[in-house]
Amino acid sequence: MRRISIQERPNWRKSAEDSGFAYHSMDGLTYWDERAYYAFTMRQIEDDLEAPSQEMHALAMEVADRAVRDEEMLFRLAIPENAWDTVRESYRRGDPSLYGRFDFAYDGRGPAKLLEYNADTPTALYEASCFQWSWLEDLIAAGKLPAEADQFNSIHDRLVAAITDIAQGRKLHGSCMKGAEEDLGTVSYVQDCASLAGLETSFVAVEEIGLLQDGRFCDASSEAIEVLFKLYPWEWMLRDNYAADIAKTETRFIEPPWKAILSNKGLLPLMWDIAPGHPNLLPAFFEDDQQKWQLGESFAKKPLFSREGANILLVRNGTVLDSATGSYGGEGYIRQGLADIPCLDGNYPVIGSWIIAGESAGIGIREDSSPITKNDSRFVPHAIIG
Amino acid sequence: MAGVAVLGYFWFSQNEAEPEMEGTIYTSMDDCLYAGSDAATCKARFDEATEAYKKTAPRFVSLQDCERDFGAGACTPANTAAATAATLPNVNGSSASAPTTNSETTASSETRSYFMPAMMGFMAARMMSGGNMQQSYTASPLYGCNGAASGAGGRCYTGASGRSYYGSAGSRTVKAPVSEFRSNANRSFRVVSRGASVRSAASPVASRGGFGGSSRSYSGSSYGG
Repeated sequence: MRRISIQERPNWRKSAEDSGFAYHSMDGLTYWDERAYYAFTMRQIEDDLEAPSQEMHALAMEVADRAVRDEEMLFRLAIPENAWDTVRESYRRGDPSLYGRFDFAYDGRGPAKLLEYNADTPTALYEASCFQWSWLEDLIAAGKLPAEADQFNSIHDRLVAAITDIAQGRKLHGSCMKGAEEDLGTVSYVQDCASLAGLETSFVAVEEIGLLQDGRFCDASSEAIEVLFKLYPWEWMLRDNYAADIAKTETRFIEPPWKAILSNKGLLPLMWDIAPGHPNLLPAFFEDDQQKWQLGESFAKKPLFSREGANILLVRNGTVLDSATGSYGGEGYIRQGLADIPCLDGNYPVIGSWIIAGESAGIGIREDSSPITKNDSRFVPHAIIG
Repeated sequence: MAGVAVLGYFWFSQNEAEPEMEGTIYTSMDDCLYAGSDAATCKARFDEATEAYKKTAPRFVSLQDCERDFGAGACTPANTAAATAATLPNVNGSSASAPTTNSETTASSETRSYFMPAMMGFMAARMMSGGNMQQSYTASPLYGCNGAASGAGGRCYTGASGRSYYGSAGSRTVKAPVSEFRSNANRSFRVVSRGASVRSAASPVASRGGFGGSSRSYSGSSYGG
């Protein structure tokens, strides 16, 4: 895999804003970065990314299947006990999942290594599905990329189809926290996909969701919510005041409650438990598991719940390689083998691999100037050439 | 009673303040045939409307709520409705019926009984998409219509989107405002239906603001990862 410098398109910022991608730069810092792109061969995509993503999805679903039968696993995953029935019932009902994003370390040669799974509230969706695709088309049209250049990306079409299946004609409400500008961009995009599927949609801020006497949740105008796409994580929903009302409600959620099993880093030691030595897995243990000493003096210590790299500690040969501040860690930590994230031109790329309705659908790449991917990492497009 | 069926055409103009949509209502297969369409086309439209009906007709917990929306006598128990889905009598008295499936066996199968508006007919809309002359048809179910003494507007029907249509006296050409389709101007559009939501009597709000509290120690432009 190569990182190739290339000229930015003139006026790309204007076309981003025109299509609603307002968060292309955040607080003055570059986010969408098209000064370079990553080039893959088709073999690398199919063998090293697409197939392993599908396998990791299957393995994660195996964890979910066991966890709904094993209360110790639910306990290890720090799911509150009074939410166990909600989670199990959601799984048994077969509540459909829309999406998730695996993060892999990959250098183009060895097997991709799973760093973590964003199974509940993955971000960088619009960038991966639409904006990098139009980047590719523009560059091919301008002759800057060969006409046969491609991209591992069928995310948008699969999203629209999946939303159609999940909503079954019902109205879809999109929701995120007030003031979360980047999340609003993602929610608006999902609502647009729903409109393309012929559905009615509207928005409700998380803080404004109400509860009707019949048990359904409602929006700011007290209209019942039938299907709620929420960019707000289950570990918080299940600890909020309305947690007790989730089990009985007719409102359906995207992602559904059973995703709480997969949406914390406790998933990683549980996957290692089922498939130790799998080429795409890094060894992983819960922090209070004595087996963690197998990792020796090189490891990554990660809170069960954290986002954007917060509170992650990387240690190599006993020396701190990188660390990030934050307020997570209260629910415990895992310890994972250290991945070799390649450094290309001073950048550390992480491959985000999207699973849409259970199928490997495409990738988006974020790179950082340090090995921990934080909130100010940059999204860089990719192409399949050769 | 088969009336004269006039096939109007739809167009959507962004210049009009309240653009209108025209289409044809059929209360029976015979209506459709009488209008000059062939049997295969009529059956295809009928089947499409029937499928849409089975998937998306609104369901009510109480008969009164259903009749409030669709008119006295317009509603039927859901299991009966499913069994006789879109059985429209034609002039000879025999029925053109679609294959029935019991759409009540859903994943969350508690045996509740619901009421649904019966399918009184179907509507075929011909539309031109965008600026080119491409035409496509879409067929959707029609239900009864409450209140609204029609007068010169003719008989009232409720379409799948909840909008009312009136057949003008002596013909079946109907007009209805289509402002809800404004954003779909450049796409061939279909009637958007509300889905199989169970509408119980309007439920009062019990409380508000029960989500969001756990995020107190975090703030940023994204709560995702």
